[in-house]
Amino acid sequence: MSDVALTQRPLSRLTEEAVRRLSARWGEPGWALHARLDAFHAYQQTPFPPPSHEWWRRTDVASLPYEAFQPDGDAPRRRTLGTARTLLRPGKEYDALLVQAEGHTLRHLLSPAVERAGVVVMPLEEALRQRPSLVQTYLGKAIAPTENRFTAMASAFRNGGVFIYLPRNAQVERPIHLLHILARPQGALFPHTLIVAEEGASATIVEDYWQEGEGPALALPVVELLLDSASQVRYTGVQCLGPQALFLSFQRSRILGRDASLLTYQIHFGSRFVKTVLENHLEGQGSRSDLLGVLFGDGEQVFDQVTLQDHHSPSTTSDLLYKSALKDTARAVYYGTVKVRRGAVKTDAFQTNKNLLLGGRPKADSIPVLEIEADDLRCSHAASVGPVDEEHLFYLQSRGIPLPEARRILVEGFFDPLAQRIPTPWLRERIWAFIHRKMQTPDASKGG
Amino acid sequence: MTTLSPLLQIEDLHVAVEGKEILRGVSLALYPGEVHALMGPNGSGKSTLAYAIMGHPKYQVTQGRILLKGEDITSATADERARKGLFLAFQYPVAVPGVTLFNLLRTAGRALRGQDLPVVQFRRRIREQANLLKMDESFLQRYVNEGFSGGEKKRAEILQLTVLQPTVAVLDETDSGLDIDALRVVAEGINAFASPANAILLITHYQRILRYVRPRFVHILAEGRIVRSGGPELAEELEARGYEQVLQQVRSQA
Ligand SMILES: Nc1ncnc2c1ncn2[C@@H]1O[C@H](COP(=O)(O)OP(=O)(O)OP(=O)(O)O)[C@@H](O)[C@H]1O
Ligand SMILES: [Mg+2]
Repeated sequence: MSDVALTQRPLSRLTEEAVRRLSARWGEPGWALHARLDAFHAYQQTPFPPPSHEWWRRTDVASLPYEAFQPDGDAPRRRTLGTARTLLRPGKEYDALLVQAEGHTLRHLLSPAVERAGVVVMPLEEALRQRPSLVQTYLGKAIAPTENRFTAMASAFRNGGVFIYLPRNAQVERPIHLLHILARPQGALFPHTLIVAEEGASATIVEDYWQEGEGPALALPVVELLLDSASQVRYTGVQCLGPQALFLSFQRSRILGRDASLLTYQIHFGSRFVKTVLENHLEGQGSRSDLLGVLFGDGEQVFDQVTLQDHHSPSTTSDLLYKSALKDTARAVYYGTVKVRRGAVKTDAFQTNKNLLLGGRPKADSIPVLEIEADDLRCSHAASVGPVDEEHLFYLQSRGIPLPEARRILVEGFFDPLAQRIPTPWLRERIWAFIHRKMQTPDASKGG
Repeated sequence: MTTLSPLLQIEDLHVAVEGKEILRGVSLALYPGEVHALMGPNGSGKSTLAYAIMGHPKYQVTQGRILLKGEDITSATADERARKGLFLAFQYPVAVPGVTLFNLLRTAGRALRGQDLPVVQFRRRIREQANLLKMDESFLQRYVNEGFSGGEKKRAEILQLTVLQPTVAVLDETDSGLDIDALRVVAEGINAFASPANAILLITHYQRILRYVRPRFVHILAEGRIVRSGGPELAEELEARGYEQVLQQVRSQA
């Protein structure tokens, strides 16, 4: 048996049959199937991004076993909510909730106020049936399916996703919570999130990735955000998958209207391997984007994050703060570009990436890049990689605080300014719990 | 008085920083209720002595010992020393990112007493002390020293002193960078702290603060040694004549 397994090339589960089965599952119209098949062919024909490309050279994404994961599993059983239930405990405030397990919708709630305002929060497949022209107006306007091998893969095997539409001046007071659960062993999740904010609309959106169990799994989300004038969107992605999961995400925001503002927040605690590409394009004059990121790596986790702050228009502002703490043999790569296009005068662009190295032999690389084609602007970047500052430790110790506690306080202090900017209290609590858990886990490299 | 034993005793202390000897045999004894002023030119080793007393790992004691309430603490860690009753107000307090002054005081208070004071009670105590030092309460919710002005940092150090109530306090140039009113407020804070049960080593360049906080002894540190000790009048002499002359006199007498 084992001989066979070694010599035989494993069967791919990313096949045309799987594409057709997924399309049939939702009874998609012909054009939707064709779009999937086009994407499938693009997936087959497009090579992985070459390692000669700066965004792709530091971790080897081509060698991961994508085809071993199954995108078209059956509907999960009821108990799928399992541990994810703790994320939905009562007292947690939201105006909309959508829970999906590998694309099967398990819960879908909307507050009456939000419904009255005409806000749409709907599984993408359902939206394709019910609001085809509205969805088609926006789908793929930020990320084209054929853009690269991954987006093609995700578009062909899309098995879930959400359409959020905020009509003109709609104010969603409480968060919109989207929860994706990876429920099956060897499961693959390809969710597509499309968020459209019309003029003056405002909302806070939290998208959660969660796994039942700890087996190998793949998640490859594509997230598109389109913002019209004076809209305000806060979008947070929280990834807490199991220790063997692979997570690759592609997120692009187009801030199209004047004076719109977007906060994107990336939070990563889980997965064995994480690759994220996040781009915020400031196309509307006077628009603003804050980009925040938190990650805590331990064991053998690898994180490779790419960001782009792209200033197309005058008087735009972007402000990025990404922080990571690493222990054991975890590794993090941060590659962040600030781009200011010709004519984008009076731009303010700031970028800070800080990496805290804790016990073990973790490693972090921080690479800031400036591509400036305009003048009359303010631009700064700062990067740091290093252990807890000895002078800070001494200061706390001189006040009687023992070394281990002093360390703990400084790690908390490292994250505190970012934790304070998490837009909802329940998420903030959860992030602290994760940080504390990560701090406490014994050093895996010491076998303890 | 003389039958009491010193709270802080420093015996023939030699200290090296990165292989370079800075202190070459310093001896001092602070008895209960005493304030000692330590003066000396820039670079003479005053802060080195302060750090060595507090146990900074970079400042290596190569000879001699430090005793706190009769107990040899020469090889104790900084946090152990603090828990035995030692305190250092830094000449240049570092900003501690992400840690609020309130959180620091609370955690330190707990570490020093080995138990938690009820929050309400502790909060009240901190607030009282902050008011005495004319510090706005908003400072308590700010990250320690981050964005504090020079004078605000010094005030925050004294707030920690008065809240944490150590037995021996080393105050390294707490008066530097304070405006005239702030100097008085901080001096009042130090005086309010001073009691027959504790002792203070006050490092300063200026006689001004010594008008508020009266020292029993004034010592001059030069080139790693205490070259002269005297009463408060020594500070006045220094102010009038400057180090150059006073030190020349010391050398010619030697
Ligand atoms: N960490 C260090 N690394 C290298 N040299 C040091 C260090 N700390 C102190 N020194 C050196 O030791 C000497 C004494 O410095 P120290 O700070 O103790 O002087 P000081 O008397 O406090 O001066 P000031 O009045 O300016 O505060 C100086 O020459 C200084 O450069
Ligand atoms: Mg000094």
